[in-house]
Amino acid sequence: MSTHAENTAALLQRCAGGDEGAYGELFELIYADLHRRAQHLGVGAGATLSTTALVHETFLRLAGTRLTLNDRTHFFHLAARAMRRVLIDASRRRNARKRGDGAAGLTLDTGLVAPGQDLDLVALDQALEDLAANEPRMAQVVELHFYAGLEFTEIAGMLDLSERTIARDWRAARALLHVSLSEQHDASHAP
Amino acid sequence: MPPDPRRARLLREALDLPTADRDAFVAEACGDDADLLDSLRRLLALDAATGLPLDQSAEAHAIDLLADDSEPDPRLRAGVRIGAYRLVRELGKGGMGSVWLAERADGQFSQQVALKLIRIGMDSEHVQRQFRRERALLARLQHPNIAQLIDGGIDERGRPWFAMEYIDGISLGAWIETVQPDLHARLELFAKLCRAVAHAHRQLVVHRDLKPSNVLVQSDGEPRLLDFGIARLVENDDSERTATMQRFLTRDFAAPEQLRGEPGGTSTDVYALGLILFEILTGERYRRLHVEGEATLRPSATLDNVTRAPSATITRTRLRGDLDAIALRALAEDPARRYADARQLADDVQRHLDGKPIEARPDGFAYRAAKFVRRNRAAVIATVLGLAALLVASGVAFRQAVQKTTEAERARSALRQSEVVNQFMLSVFGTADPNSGKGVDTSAGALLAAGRERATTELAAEPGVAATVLHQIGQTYVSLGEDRLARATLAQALEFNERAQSPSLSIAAAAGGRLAYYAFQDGQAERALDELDAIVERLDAVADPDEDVVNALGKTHELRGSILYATGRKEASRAAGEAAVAAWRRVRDHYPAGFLFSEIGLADLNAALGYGESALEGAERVLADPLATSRDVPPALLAHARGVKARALQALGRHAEAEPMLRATIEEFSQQHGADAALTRYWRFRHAETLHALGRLDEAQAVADAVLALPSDGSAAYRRTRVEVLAAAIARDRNAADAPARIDAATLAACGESGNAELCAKAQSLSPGP
Repeated sequence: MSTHAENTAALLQRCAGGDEGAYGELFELIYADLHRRAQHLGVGAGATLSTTALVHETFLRLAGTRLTLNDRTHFFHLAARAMRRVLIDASRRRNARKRGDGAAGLTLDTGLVAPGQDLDLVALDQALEDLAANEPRMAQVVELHFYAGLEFTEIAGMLDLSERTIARDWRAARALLHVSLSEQHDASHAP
Repeated sequence: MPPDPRRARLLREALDLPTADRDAFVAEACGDDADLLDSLRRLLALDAATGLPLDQSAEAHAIDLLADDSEPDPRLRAGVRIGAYRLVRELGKGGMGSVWLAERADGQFSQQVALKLIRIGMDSEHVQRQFRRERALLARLQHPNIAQLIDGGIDERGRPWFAMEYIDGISLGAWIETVQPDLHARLELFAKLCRAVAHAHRQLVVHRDLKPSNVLVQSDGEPRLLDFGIARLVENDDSERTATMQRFLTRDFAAPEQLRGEPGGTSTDVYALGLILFEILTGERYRRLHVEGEATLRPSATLDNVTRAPSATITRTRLRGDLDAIALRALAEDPARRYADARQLADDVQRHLDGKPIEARPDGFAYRAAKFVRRNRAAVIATVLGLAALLVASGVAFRQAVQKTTEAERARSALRQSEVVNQFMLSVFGTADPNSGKGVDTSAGALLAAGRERATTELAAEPGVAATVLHQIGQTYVSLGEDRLARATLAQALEFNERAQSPSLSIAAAAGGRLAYYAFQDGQAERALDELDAIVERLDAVADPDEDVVNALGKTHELRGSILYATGRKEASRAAGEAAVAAWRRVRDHYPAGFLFSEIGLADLNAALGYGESALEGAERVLADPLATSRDVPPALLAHARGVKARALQALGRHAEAEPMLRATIEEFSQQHGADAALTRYWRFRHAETLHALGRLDEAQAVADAVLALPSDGSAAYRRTRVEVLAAAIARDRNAADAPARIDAATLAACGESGNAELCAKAQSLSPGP
């Protein structure tokens, strides 16, 4: 087992024991790994620009394959949250830049422009916080499915629930989040 | 106001019920709380909606965001070389990559290109191979209204790049704004776009990302389509990549089936053309006005709502009727209700311009065909490659035949033929089960196999049509390197062709020639030559040959030449080469690439036979020919010509001059085709030869051994054997310990079944005398 994996396993052990510091340390470890590699996306060899792959690679790099299901679940929760932060940080930097130069966002249409602009990730983050306050499990499903790209079956296995329940939670959360996104949007564009 | 805590719970419970029962459930549960009920109804409506931002997973957002967030790639700057090009300046940047103005870096001739660099890497060897094949198909796509794909490759980091003809023009939107063309001019331009798309469809290429910004209008008013087939080229068979690419589609111009995540086909392009037509007619973007789920918008109805008409010539009255009907048909939600291909759309626009009745009427043929499609659940027709276009094109041809003849009997027969073609088309593409969730199997392989199977059975009564279809499929297999399938399919094409009332001479020559070549590869050289002689005879007998017949003649002579050469009949092969050049010279303006390649082939042959001076003259003639740099000639031709020039120098014993040219040629061929492609192997073999002649024995040995170490590529065994013989000769001159063993093995191969007399003599001469 690599030193990474040993370190991760030890941290997970301490997390399970309720050690808050270990939790923070592990989160930072995962965040740093995701962030560094996300930054290199597209300029590295054979980069595939897939958040799902990123999260899984981080898992393999930091944790290896011999974790217990419980530790795995824990790890993916952290990884999903870390991916969420990577994206939020990038969005915030972009928003700041846009305010800075005014003309940002004016890229030439190369025929291959992403539709990602449709979603305000900062607003989504807020909406997800609100949802977590009342419906923590639904928020968890969103994190694992949307940010970490896990399939419903995987999530069901981790949370020990049926796949049907996960799928239903996702649909409900999806609708609720879109409503609160459009409410936020309307509020910020109100005259 | 914080949301009602009951809301999330009730939503979950409602979602557990069958769709039909949900509304009653929430009405009951909310009692007289009207706000809560409204809110739940809205949530349930959202649940049914597709294409919401959250449906894209974080990935789509991440790519855009992180691309923007990361530092620009420091390796990409002016002056950097990619393939044969040098970057000049960045033209633009998007989530997927950047576009640069670039120019040829080898100084051979000046050519400006738009170089598109995709930032997503292609990691697996399999994907890269697919990419090269697809690129080869795309390179064949030539049309005056399509920006030509000139070159493409994968850089050392696995990222694909494309060099496209650089078009000096303005975008379609800017053209409308600044030129303010009248209705007629707009429609003529649009018809040109449709015909360009139809041409691509007939070559089995779909665009999938058509939109106004991919149309540039030149100062002479000619439109040019950009990025043809690029979406497909990048996707390949890698489903994860396909999914990623689909997220890059511009929502405003994606067809409904693309928004559902299905891959696009010919009718996807038709839909996109409909969106462009709408914008050309009204100046408004369709997707900004149309509410999802509502009936298709008529362009004429839109004019009521715009404050200023896009042009004085565009009035509601002029849009109402034909143009409304055309737009409605192109923009139908259901792919099966659209025009079956871009050609039909172009034809209808042209009919309107000519004042003839259009097809897009409820009682029209297209409508009946569409109904037939619906009945057969073949909505999936939209999701397949352009083979449909080919078949529909024959349908159009039959309809034209109907219009030309007054004999009722012939009209009925032609109509029946067109029905046959249409039904055939539907049955091929309608086999997938739309309920299976996965949609159709869109791999070209499965499609071609299905097409072939059906053509032989269901078109048996129409041998001419069957031959055309089978020939097209067979040639596609040839392009894909599927020799076994190509062979079987072309044999069938020939069979059907001969059974047709008036067999097509070009099918007979093209399919027959290819089959003869395969026979030769199997060791049946005599049979191959007999077959080719018969084809030549048939072509020579044509009284007043057109370009196609002359072209076929040139190709057949060239094939004869290479087989004669390989079987040791050198002078005869030279005569055949000369005959090929002579034929092609007659049509050099029609087939510049064919002509120049035949010249190169002859020069190569002359070099091989020791006519060094003629070889050098030939190669230099090609390099100086103005046709060599014309648009219709692939850049690979020049690389080839330079290689042959090096070979001529070799033949003249001028090895020191030949050596650096060979090295450059190898580099160029590796870039274009990969280091292990047959042509690259060939030039590496020649390089080893020259190094040997120069006495640079260790280098020569290394090059020859590297070629031998490559896995077999299935090409003729004698090609390998001659490298083996050369490697043995080098080993002997190096006094290598393994030289005797190598000589024995080479002699065995050269004098055995896969050798020939010349190689055998050469190998035997290596052994020390008795």
